[in-house]
Amino acid sequence: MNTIDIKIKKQLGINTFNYTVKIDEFDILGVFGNSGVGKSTFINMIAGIIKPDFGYIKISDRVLFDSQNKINIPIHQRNIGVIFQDTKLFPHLSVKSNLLYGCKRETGCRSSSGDKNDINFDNVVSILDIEPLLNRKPNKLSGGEKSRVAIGRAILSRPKLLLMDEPNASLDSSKKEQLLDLYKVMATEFNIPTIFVTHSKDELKKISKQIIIIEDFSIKAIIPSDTL
Amino acid sequence: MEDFLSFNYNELTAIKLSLKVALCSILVTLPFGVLCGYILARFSFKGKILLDSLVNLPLILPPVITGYLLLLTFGKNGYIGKYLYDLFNISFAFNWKGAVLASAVVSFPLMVRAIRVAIEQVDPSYEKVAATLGASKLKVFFTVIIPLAMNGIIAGTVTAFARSLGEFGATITFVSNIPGKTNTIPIEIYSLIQNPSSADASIIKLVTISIIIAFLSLMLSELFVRKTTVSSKDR
Repeated sequence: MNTIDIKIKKQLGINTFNYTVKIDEFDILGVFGNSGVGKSTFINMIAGIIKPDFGYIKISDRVLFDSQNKINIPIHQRNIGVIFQDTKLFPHLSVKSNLLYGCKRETGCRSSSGDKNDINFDNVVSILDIEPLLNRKPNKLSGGEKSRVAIGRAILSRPKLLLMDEPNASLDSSKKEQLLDLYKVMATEFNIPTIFVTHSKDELKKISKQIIIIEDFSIKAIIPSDTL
Repeated sequence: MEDFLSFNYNELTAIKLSLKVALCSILVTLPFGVLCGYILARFSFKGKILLDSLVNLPLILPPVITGYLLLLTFGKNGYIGKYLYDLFNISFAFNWKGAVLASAVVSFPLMVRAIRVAIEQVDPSYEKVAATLGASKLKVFFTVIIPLAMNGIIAGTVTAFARSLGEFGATITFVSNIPGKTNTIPIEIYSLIQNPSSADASIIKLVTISIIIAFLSLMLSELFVRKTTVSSKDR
């Protein structure tokens, strides 16, 4: 069961961030809000990049943060993949090395079973259709290609949760459509619960059924996407 | 002038010793330089200004004072030198190892400066991405920070190497001028000048060699610094 149980508070300058949300089942969860209302802060707190002042974060019954019991799992042990707006591919590594960066040493991301839904290098590369790019450096890729490599890199680290922070913001609309489908395929094919953040209603309607609305640094509502 | 490229025994000894001392000096300081540059670039803590000043002190302190302080600390009867000699039989007094120590201390600030600037230019979000992919702080350091700061690290090392070759004041104060042991190029030149009857040709040769090495080092270091700024724009 993919569940979310969050109740956190954070004071940053004059702004108080206050997020309370409990969701019992989701595959792709949308997060909607205009820019500057605290969407990224929400994501960064789940990922462990920003530490909340009070409260707790539980994802699928795993406690990632709990101020009362002094639990704060460090970023690298949370097993949460993050896709940032500007992909942040490592510029000194080839596409192939970027993809393999998060692989656990025992498996090396090689195929371990014949299972079609198994997360391994060959599967991910073929679904994303990035075979011809493997030996290139990131500065030789287009925006859409970078996005595809970034999602591949995150998936190959076998995350328990995937956070996407406006991954399409810098792309033109024809590419967006394609990638949106691809995100959906990746999340369902490999069975990775995903939180998708954007300020585009159209994108959310296409990709997720449930949507969290963020306004003024706190969660205002959880609604089905067709009522957005 | 035809024998300009042939060196006599003393000249050759001075050149070899200088290269050996400078090379050992950067090999010893490099790990500390990278660590120190990383700490100064990425952490804020109480006493940071103190550490920063301490590292940079040899840059502005008269070298003769640096040398004297080394003598007090690492000389055979020095505060630390005494124990090093008693416990490990290591002595820095009046030998080439002392020259290495003096060069290392004096060139250290130059190395740290370049490395610090290079690490400050590495976008911290790469470190965050690496962490979300499961990389520990140690792995991030070696697989992200060091490679992305590599040009600056090389530039700093080359500059420190050149500075080590030119080290005079602290070295002659700390380990004196002992032929074949501590007479690096600058010290050899100094002692040749002291002696009015000595051959001017020797001085000219050593001076030329020094200028060539220093010039090449600076060009090399500038090349790497430039490469760094170009590739960071590229990102």
